[in-house]
Amino acid sequence: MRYILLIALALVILQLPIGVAQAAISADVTITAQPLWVSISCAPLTFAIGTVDASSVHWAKNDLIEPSWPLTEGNCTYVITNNGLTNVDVDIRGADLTAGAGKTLTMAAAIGEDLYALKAGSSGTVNLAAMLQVNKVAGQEMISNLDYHAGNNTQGFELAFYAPTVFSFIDMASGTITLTAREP
Amino acid sequence: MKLIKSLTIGMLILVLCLVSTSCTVNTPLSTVIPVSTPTPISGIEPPPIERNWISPAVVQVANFYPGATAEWAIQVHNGYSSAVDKYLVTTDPNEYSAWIHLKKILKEGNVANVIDILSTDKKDVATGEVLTAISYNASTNEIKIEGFKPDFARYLTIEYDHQSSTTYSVYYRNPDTLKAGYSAPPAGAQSWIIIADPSPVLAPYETREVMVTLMMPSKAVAPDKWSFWVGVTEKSNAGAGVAISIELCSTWLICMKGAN
Repeated sequence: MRYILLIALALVILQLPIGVAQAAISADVTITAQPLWVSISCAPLTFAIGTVDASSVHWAKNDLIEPSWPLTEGNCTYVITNNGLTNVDVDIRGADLTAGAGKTLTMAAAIGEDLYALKAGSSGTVNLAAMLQVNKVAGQEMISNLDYHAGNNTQGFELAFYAPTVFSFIDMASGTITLTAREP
Repeated sequence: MKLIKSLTIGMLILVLCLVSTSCTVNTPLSTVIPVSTPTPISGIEPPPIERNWISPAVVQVANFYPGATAEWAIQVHNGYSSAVDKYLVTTDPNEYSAWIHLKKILKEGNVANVIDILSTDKKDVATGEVLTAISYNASTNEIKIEGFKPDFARYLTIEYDHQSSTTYSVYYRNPDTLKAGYSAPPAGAQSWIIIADPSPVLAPYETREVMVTLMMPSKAVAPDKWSFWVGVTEKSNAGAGVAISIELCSTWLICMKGAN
C-alpha cells in the first residue's frame, strides 16, 4: 500500500502520463516527403461582366473598358504562373456563382436553369464554341491537367459568360473560380 | 532513510510498469524522426518570397496499418501582394467625394500607399482630374477619395499597399485525380486526419509549419494503396465580383503494410 502511494506521489511530482503513448510515427511506418514547392499565382484575381452586343455573349474579365465583338484574347485571358521550378498541374473549377447585390444579373437562378454558362479554355481559344462549359453543378471541373512545366511556366486561360439575353447594365456576379495546383 | 528506500523501490516499480506498458502499446514510438523542412535539391529552389507556396508537394507513408499513426508538417508561406478592393459607389447630387472603407489596413496609414484608383467609367471625374485619395481615418481604416462625378453610380477599384496578416485554410481534401496504382481514400478517412492549425494567420513573408497527423483507427480498413490531399487556400474576403481562388495541394500517398 505504501509503495502504491509512493508511486502515485512520484507520478504527480514527475507529471507523467498514465498509460498513454504519444506516437508521432508508429513502429515500422516510414514517412518521406519530396522537398518540392507548390506555388502558382494568377492575374487578374477577379472579373466583372459587361455587355458586349446582341450576340448575347458577355466578356468576363476585370477590365474596365467594355470590349467589342468578337472577343479578343485580351478580353478574357487570365494568366497563371507557376512560381516554382518543378511542374504542377492546375484544375479550374467554377462554383456557386450567385447574384450581384441588387443588380440585374441573377446568376443563381440563371445557373440553376442553365440559362447562363461560364466557359473556359486554354489561352487563344477565344471561340466560345471550343471552350468547355460549366453549368449548375458546384465544383464541376472545367479544365483539368493543364501542365505548367519548369522553364515554360506561364500560361493563359480564358473565362467568358454566355447568356441568351443581353444585360443592359454592367454588373458583377459573386462566386468563386478555383484554381487547384498540385504535383503532377 | 527508510523513506528514500521506499521511494527508490517505488520508482523502480514505476519504471518497470512503464517499460512493460510501452511494450504492449499498439503504436510505440518509432526511431524515425521526420525532417519536415524542405531542403533544396540540385537546382530546385523555393519560389520567390513574395509568392505564396506550400511544401512538401508529396508525402509518402509506407508500411501503414490500422492503429498506426504518422505525421508530417506542411509548410505554408505567405507572400505579399498589394490589395485590390472593389466597390459599387453611388454619389448623391452635389457629392464629389466619398469615404471608402479598405478591407486591409493601409500601410503606415499613408494615402501615398494608395497605388491606383480606377472607375468603370472613364468620364467619372467631375473636374477632369483623376480620382485622388486625400486623407485617411485610422480608426475606421477609411480613405477619402475626391473627384467623383455627382449623382452617379460606378464600380471602383482601389489598389494599395497594406500591412495585414492573411488567414489561410488548411484542410483534408478528396483527391480529384489519383496517382496510378492508388485508390480513393476509404470512407471516413477524413476523420483520421488531424490538422493541428486549420486556420493559420500569417504575416507577410511568414512561413508556418502546420502539423498533419494521420491516425487510422485499429478496426478501420483501407485499400492497399490510397491517397488524400491536404489543401491550402487563402481565406477570401472578396466582396463584389467573382474571385479567382488559388488552392495549393499536397498529395499524401499511403501504402499499407504488406502491399506491393
